[in-house]
Amino acid sequence: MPSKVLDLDLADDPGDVPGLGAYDRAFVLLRWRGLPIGSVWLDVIDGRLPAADLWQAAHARHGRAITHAMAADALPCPAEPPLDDVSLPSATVAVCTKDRPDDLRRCLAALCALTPPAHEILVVDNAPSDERTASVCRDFPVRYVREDVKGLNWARTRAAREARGEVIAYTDDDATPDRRWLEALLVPFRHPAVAAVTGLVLPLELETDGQELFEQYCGFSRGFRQRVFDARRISPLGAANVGAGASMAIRRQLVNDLGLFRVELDAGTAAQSGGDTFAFYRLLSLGHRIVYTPAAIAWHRHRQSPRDLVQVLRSYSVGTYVFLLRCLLFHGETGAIQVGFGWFLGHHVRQLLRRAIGRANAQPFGLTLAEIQGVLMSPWALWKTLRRERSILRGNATAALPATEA
Amino acid sequence: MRTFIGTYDIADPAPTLWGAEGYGRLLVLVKEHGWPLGVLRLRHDPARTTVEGADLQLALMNQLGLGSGTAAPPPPTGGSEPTVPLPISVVVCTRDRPRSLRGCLASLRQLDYPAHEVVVVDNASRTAETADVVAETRFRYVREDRPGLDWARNCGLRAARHDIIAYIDDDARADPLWLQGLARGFAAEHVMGVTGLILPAELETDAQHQFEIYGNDGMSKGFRARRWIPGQLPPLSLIQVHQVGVGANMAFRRKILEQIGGFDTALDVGTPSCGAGDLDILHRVLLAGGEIRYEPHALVWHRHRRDQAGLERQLYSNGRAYGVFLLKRWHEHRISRRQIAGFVTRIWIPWLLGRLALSVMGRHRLPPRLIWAELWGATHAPWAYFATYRHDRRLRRRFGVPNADETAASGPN
Amino acid sequence: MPRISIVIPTHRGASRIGPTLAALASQTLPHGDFEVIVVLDGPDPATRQVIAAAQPPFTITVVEQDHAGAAQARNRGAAAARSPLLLFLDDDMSAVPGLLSAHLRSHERHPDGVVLGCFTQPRAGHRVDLLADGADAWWADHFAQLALPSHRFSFRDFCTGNVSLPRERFVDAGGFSTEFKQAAGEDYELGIRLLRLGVRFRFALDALSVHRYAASWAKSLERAREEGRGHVIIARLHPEVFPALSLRDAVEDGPVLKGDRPLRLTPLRLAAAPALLHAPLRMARALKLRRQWQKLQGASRVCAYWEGACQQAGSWSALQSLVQDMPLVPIAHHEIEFDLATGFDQLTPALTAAAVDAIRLRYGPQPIGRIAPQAGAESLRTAHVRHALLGRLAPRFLAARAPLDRGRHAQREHTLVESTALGSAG
Repeated sequence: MPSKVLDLDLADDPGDVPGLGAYDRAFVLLRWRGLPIGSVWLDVIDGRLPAADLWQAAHARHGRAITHAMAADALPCPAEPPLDDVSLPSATVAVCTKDRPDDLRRCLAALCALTPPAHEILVVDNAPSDERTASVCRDFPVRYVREDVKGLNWARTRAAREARGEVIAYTDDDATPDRRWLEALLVPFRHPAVAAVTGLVLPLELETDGQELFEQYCGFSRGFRQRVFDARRISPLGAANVGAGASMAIRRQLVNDLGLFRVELDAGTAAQSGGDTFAFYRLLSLGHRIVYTPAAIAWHRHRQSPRDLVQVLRSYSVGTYVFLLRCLLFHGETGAIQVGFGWFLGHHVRQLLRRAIGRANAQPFGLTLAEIQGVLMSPWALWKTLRRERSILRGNATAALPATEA
Repeated sequence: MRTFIGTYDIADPAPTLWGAEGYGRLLVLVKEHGWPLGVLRLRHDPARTTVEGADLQLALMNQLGLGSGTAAPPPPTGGSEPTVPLPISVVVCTRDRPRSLRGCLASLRQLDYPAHEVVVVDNASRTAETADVVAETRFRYVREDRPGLDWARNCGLRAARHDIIAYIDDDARADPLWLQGLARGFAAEHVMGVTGLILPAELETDAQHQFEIYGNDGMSKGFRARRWIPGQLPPLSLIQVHQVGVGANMAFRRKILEQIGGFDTALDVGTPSCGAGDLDILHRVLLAGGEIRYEPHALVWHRHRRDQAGLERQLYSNGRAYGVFLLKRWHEHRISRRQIAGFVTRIWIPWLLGRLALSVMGRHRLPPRLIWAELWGATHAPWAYFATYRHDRRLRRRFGVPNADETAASGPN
Repeated sequence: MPRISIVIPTHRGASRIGPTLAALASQTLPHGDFEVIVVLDGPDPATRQVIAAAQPPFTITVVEQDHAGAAQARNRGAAAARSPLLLFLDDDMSAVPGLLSAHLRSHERHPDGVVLGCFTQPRAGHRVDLLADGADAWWADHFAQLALPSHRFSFRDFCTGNVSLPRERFVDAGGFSTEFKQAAGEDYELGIRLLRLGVRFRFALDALSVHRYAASWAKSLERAREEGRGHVIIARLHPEVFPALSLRDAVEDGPVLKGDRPLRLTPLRLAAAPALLHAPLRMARALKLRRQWQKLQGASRVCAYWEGACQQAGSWSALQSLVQDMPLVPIAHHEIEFDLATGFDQLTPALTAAAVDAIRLRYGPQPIGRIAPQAGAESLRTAHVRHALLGRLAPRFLAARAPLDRGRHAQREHTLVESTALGSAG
């Protein structure tokens, strides 16, 4: 059953929302004067969403945040905001795309509407099969770069080399950033210790069952509270919890110096995913700080078919385990063994058992089996990626992988 | 778990206790127009910063029997307000505790009483910090070089100018109405001594909470005034004289102290006896025929030992000192030795052993090592008794004070 | 006439002073506007040579003193300064080009205050360094906290690595205390005195310097010991800040290692700790077992801290008797009561009239809450009260103003009523 995705600001006092006849449920993002405070699921009654239900659900789930926001309105702002002296760094927005011109068009339209606007917008066309992407880019004030080595990570590396801003903000071509997305991502960079910032990713639409299942089983949202991550707070092996590549910004200097994306990982490679996770891992393990800020919102268009969901889950599984194997073998992370086994037993096996005894919200067999399949494929995938990586880097004269630690 | 200590005056229209955040329990002293009525013990949510009257209503009803509909409690059967305020000398004996002393003197500065003076007796402090602390105030400073709390008390007795001498410990703080409470007790001419209420000044550590449990409300003797009239004393009260009062808050008329020869310099803190100077003086005042009143309006806040090691030492000292006290009474033979023996064998030792047994079985709130400390101290009492009088003789020889001159109490020669 | 004097104490720092001076040579501030005073702690011809060879384009004065410690060195440097502003910088701090301008800008905007600068530690190469992780995280958290508008500055924020203040205030407060021999904390101690004088602290995020510091385990432990010694000295000099020191943990039962099951640190355990923990630490570091490493290194540093504290107090039992007399809860010297119904804008005059440590907030007859005093912290400002009202006191605050009603109309009306009422009254 399709659900409508709504974006409502409670401070504007929205009334009933009409025109929802085609939907059974609504997924509502709640804001207060532009800042997101939470999300709620609501039932649609007679094609409209009653405001009373909205307020009641909002108070029930996010009462504390709303109280805080209302109290903030009641008290005048302090006279001397201390951080306004420090200006935001210049930023390049980079979109890496392959053969998805329609999604890209929507994304670029959103990027050109950013306020304040980005220093530059860069599109990296990764091993395209035709000229459609290039023609879409001509309609927008963006820089177009073509990277023929197939692989999302290589495209990201290329973007970091070509970009001119101090910070490089990545987004996926199937994501639609919010108007203030970039500004929200850049604010934490005022602190010199912050190396990367990730944002909140919500579903753009939930029209099909496939999209709903995707949101349920691998949603990107990490919550509505700002969180700070460093090696002391979480294990770097848990870098997947830090954020998603669909909405992240990293200091460009670090991307280049540390070679964060110079590995054969993520879409377009045998590992299929995990490029962003690996970058976050590198940053955390070297002692840098990553901030997750829910104020930076990007709307991601999930895959529509349930079959795609199976494929996506398998690819996430492969990517995760390739990442863990890399950490274990090349970075001496003995903790990866524990994490790998723990995840296998704690998630995959547990979901199988729960489904076996018939729990309500257990993951369907098909999905869990696809994940396990991914786990089993991972050693072979790792070998293939290593081979390809070596050949790419040998062919590329200017690069050597940064020395791994002793 | 920390306990917040606050005061609540029921005559106040909208009383609020502030500063209770972070505390899990409350100890509220209920006053009426400034006079203590009783104490409430409650649980508290550490996240709340205030305690309001409404929160206390139920406890007031259950624990003290006070409610909006009931009548005010009857006035305590104590003295009445004297028409002319009796002049009182406050004596603080201290040794090497300048920071605590500063707190005590700060509270004495806030005393709300017209005719009083304060004398600080520095009992052989090793540094000059005590003198510095006293110099910051306008109180009199007197030095007693002979170490021993009872030496210091006698010195204070001599240095004081007024007829009534009130003693307070240097780790205690006086309530502003303390002297008024004492004066109420002394309103009747024949009253020779007044002891007062002692409540804990802070309950921040486990050791302080344990001390409260140990003494069944610590050092407090309750909120009802009592009269200890010689000749009409309950049986054994001359032996169980700790029920009459505590040395941290006691006052006497000069003439009874001079009549009985002052404090026994061989006893109390600073000598091998480790205590019992207050027990001894209360006993001797009663024996000499002087009436003692317990006046709960005379309020003093005492800071208990914060650390476990200090608490163990304190309980050990209590056991040892009480044993020394009993031995002195035995030697004096002014009360029946059979009574003393009977008390020790039938009441005191069984009580100590019983508590120890309960604690070992886990049925007592105090750990066994604390109860054992008191018992262990009691076993050292005989040795301590001989040692303390020997120490006293040596001290007198060293300072050239003959036994007969000094108003000393009896002891083994 | 220079506008700001930079005082850099150094002790055998020939290898460190070069890059520091080079960084100062590339400041955005014109070279004529500042002077640098390097104080040599003990005769040091090597450093003199480095300075001479550097040929800095700005005025540089070299002062030498007999080996007397960093505190005395800073006092000497301050005495030799000619400008009204002092900036203390360590010899291993490389200033970013905008450092001096940032300090000056803050002083111009808010004269007569202390400006705390910010520093980062660079990571050399791609080595994973668990020890540096902990230090980096600690400093990053510290500066993130300082940058919050609701932060209540305390003496622990005053770090001499990168801080500037007017020379008059430095002299009024009496300069650094020279009692801290082999002990850390003379900066905290000066911070206590400055706060007592009522000097306002401010944090400048763009006054950034890079701390070229090579973390080593031995140095980290020695630093913990120095902290222990320093805290005992501070407790003796200023007993009222005792509740804010880690020494407070010793009150119940002596030095203790906090945790799920607190461990009592007897003298025997304290002496044995370094030897016992050495091997597990090395193993954890080699195998990159981060959580175990953090626990072990935390325990080691705590033991070193108590070791230093016992040394300074004289003995384990001397430390025990020292802490028994100290205040356990912060004392409010000046506490006021404020009724929010009179309007939030009345709060600022009430707080600036006198140095307020703690405040009781009401709304009409209804008590809302109390902001407790904090040992060794600045007096309350409007921003602190605002933060408390928005945070832990928010439910009571809003409930006192308009009863929370779950119904939509009432809620909406109350929202609108509040914002308009405050617009007129607030």
